[in-house]
Amino acid sequence: MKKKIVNFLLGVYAVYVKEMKLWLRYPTWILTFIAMPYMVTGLFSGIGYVIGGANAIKNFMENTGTSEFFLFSLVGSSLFMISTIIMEDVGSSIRSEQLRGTFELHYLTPMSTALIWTAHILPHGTISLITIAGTLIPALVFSENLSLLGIVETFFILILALIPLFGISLVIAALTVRFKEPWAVVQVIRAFISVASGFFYPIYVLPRWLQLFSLILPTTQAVELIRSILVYTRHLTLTDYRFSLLLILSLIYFIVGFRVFGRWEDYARKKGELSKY
Amino acid sequence: MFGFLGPNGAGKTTTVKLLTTLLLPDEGEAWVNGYHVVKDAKKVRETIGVSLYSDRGFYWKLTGRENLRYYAYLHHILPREAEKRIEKLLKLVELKKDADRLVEEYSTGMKSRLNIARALINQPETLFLDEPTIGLDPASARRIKEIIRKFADDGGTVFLTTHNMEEADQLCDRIAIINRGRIVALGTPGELKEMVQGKQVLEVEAVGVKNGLVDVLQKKINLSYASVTIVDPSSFKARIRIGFDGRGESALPTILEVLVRERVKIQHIRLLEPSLEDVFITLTGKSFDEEENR
Amino acid sequence: MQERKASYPSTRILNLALDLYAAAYNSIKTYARYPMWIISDLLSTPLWLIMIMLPIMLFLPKNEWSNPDVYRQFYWGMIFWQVVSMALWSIGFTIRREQQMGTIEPLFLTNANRIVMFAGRLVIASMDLALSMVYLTAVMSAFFNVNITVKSPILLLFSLILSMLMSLGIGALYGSLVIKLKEASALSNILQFILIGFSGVFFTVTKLPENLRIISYIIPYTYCIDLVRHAAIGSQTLLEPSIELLLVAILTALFLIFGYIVLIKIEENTKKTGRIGTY
Repeated sequence: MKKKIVNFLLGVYAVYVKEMKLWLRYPTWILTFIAMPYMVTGLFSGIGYVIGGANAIKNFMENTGTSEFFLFSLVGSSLFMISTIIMEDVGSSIRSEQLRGTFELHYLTPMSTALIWTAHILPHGTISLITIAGTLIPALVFSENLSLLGIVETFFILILALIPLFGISLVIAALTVRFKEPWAVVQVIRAFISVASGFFYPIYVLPRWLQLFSLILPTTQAVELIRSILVYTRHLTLTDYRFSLLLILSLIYFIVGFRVFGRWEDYARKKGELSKY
Repeated sequence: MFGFLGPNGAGKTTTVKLLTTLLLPDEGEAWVNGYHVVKDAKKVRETIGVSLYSDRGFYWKLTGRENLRYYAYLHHILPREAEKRIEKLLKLVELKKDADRLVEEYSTGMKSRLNIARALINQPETLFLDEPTIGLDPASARRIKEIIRKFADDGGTVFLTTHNMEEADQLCDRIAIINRGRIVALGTPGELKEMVQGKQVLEVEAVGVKNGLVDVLQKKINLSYASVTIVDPSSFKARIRIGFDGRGESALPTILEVLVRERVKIQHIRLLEPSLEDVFITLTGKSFDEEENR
Repeated sequence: MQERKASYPSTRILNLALDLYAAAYNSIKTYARYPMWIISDLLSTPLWLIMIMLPIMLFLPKNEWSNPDVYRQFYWGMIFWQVVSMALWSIGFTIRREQQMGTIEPLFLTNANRIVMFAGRLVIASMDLALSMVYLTAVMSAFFNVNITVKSPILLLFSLILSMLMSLGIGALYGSLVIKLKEASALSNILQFILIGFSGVFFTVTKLPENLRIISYIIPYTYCIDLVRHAAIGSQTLLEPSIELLLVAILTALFLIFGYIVLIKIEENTKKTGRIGTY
C-alpha cells in the first residue's frame, strides 16, 4: 500500500514538473494570461464608455447594481481566461504528445493513465492561481474592495471550480483526440460555456431558456460567487445555494469527464488510435 | 549521376541547398545548368528538381495528385499540361492507384516516391536528391533507384547525396567524397578505389571492443589503416576494419592473438576487397561513423 | 526546352494568376477537409457576437437594448473585426505552419510570387467573411428581429476588397516579423486589441476623445473601416468619401509593395543564415 502511494506521488510529481517546466519555458504566456484580462476589460469598458456617452457608468450601475465596471469585467475576464486554459490544455497537450509520438509511451508505464491525466489538474491549478493573483490583486489594491478574507474565499472557490473544469477538459480531450481536430470542438464548447456562464454580464440579461442552462454550469456559479465576494463585497456563506450547487456540479462534471475519457481510451486501445494523429 | 558521399554533418545538404538557391553563399560562385546560383536564381529554379526530405514537405489534407497539382501551378505549368505530367509521373512512381488518397494515409515509401514525382514535375534538366532512400525498406529503395537511373539514362543529370557507400558505388558515374565541408576525393568509383588498390581489407565483428584497440593493433602489425565502428554501445559490439598493403592473410594470426589478449569476443571475420569506405578512411583516417561521432 | 517554353507562358499576369489559383486551390481543398472547422465557425460566430454585445450594452440604458441601430453597429463591428484580424493571423501564421510541415523549402524552390504564395489563408478568410455576413444577417433577423441592409452595395464590395488587399500587405509586413520572433501569438493578441479599440471597429473614431483620436488617424484600417461603414449604413466619413477611397487605394498599394519587398528581404536573410525551414 505504501509503495502504491509512493509510486502514485512520484507519477503526480513527474507530471507536475514536466508541465510546469513546459509552461515556464515560455514565460511570456504567463504575462499574456495576466495582461489579457486587462486588455479585454479595457476594450469592453472603453467601447461601452464611448457608446454609452455621459451616462455610461450610471447605466452600468442600474444594470448591474455596481459602479465598479472595471473590477466587474476584470473578474469575469480572468475567470474566462482560466477556464479557457483549463478546458483546452489537456486536449492540446494530448494532441501535441501524439504529434511528438510521446502519447503512446504513457501507456507503457505502470502508472494508470487516468491518474496521469488527472494529475494535470495540479499544474493547471498553479497557473490559474498565479493568473488570478496577478490579475486581481493589483486591481483590488486600487479599489476599496481589497480584503484578505475575500482573497482567501476567492481562491477557495477557484480551487473548487477547477474540478468540474477539469472534468469538461477531459471530455474535450476525448472528443478532440477522437476526431483529430481539436480546435474546432474546443471553439464551440468554449463559446457556448462562455456565453452561458455570464463572465462579463449578469445572467438575467440572457434569455430565459439560456438562464436555465446557465444554472447547470459550474462556471456560472463560480463567476457569481467570486463576483459577489470581490465586487459586491459579500462574504461566502455555506448556505448560499450557489455554493451547494458548485459542490454538486464539481462532483458530477468530474465523474462524467473521467468516465467519458475512460471510454475513449478503451475505444482507442481497441482500434489502435493511441498512436494516430 | 554524380554522387556526393560523406558522413552526417559533412556538408552534403548545405551544398545541395547552395546549389538549389535555398542558401546564399558567404563567398564563392557556382553555376547550375549554366546559370549563376545567386544572380540567376530564378533560371536555376526553372531547370532543376529537388528532393530534400524523403517523406516530408506535403500537405496532409491534400491527396497525392492534389499536392502535385499545387506544385505544378506554382511552377507555372498550365492546368492541361500539368494534368498530363501528373498522370505520367504517378505512373512512373507507381502511385496511380493511391493518387487520390490523402497524403496523411501514405506510408513512408509512398511519400518518398511522391517526393520524386514532385521533383520531376517541372521536367528539370538536373535533379538534386538529398539522401533519397534514407529510412526506406529495400524494395522501396530499389524502386527509387530505378526511377533515378531511368532519369539519368534519359539524359538528365542527377546530383545525389548519400552516406550509403554501396548506393553511391552502385548508382553513380562519378563521386565526390566530402568531409568537414571539403571535397577530399573526386572521380569515378573505379578511380577512387584505385587509391586503395593493392590493399586488402579485413573486417572483424566482435563484442567487448574497448578504446585503444586500434593503437594496440597498429603497434603490433604493419597496417595501412584501422577503424572501429561501434554497432552496439551497451555490449561494446563493434566492427573493426583493417586495411593492409598487400595480402592480409599473413597478418591474421597476429591480429587474432591481439584480439584474444584484449579479451575481444570475435563473432565474424572476413577478408574483403577495398570499398569506398576504405578510400574515406585512407584519406581522413577515420570511418564514416567515427567522423559522425566526433 | 521548347516544350517548357510552351508550358511556361511568358506573361507575368498569367503566372500571377496561376500562383493565386494554386494558393486558393490548396487552402480551399484543405479547409473543406476539416468539416468540423466549418461547423465550428458557423456555430461559434453568433455566440462570440453575443459575448461581445452584452457586456457593452450594460453601458446603455435598458430601453436601448431593443434599438435595431445598436445591433447593426455590432453586426458591422464583427465584420470589421474579421477584416482587421486577417492582417494579424494570415500570412505570418501561414508561414509558420509551412515551416512546421516542411513545405516551405519546396515552396521557395518555385518562382511563385512570394506574397501570393502565402495568400491562401486570406482566400479562406475572405470566404469566411462572406459566409459570416450572410450567416450573421440571418441570425440578426431570426434572434433579434433586426434587418441588415446596405446603403451602397458596390462601394461596400469595393471597399471590402481594398481592405482585404490591405490586410494582405500588412499581413506580409507583420508576417515577416512573425518569422523573426518565432512566437508571436502574444504580440498578435495585443495588437488586435489596439486595432479594435482605435480603428473604429465598434464605433466611429469621432467618439473618441481628441487626444486618443490621433492614434486612430495613424492606423490605416481606420479609413478602410470608415469607408465600409459609410457604404453599409451611410455614416459620415472622416474625409470626403472620394478622397478617403483614394487614400485607402494608395495605402493598399503601398502596403502591398512594402510587404512584398520585406518578404523578399526576409527570404534572402533566412537563406543567408540557413534558417528557412527552422521554427
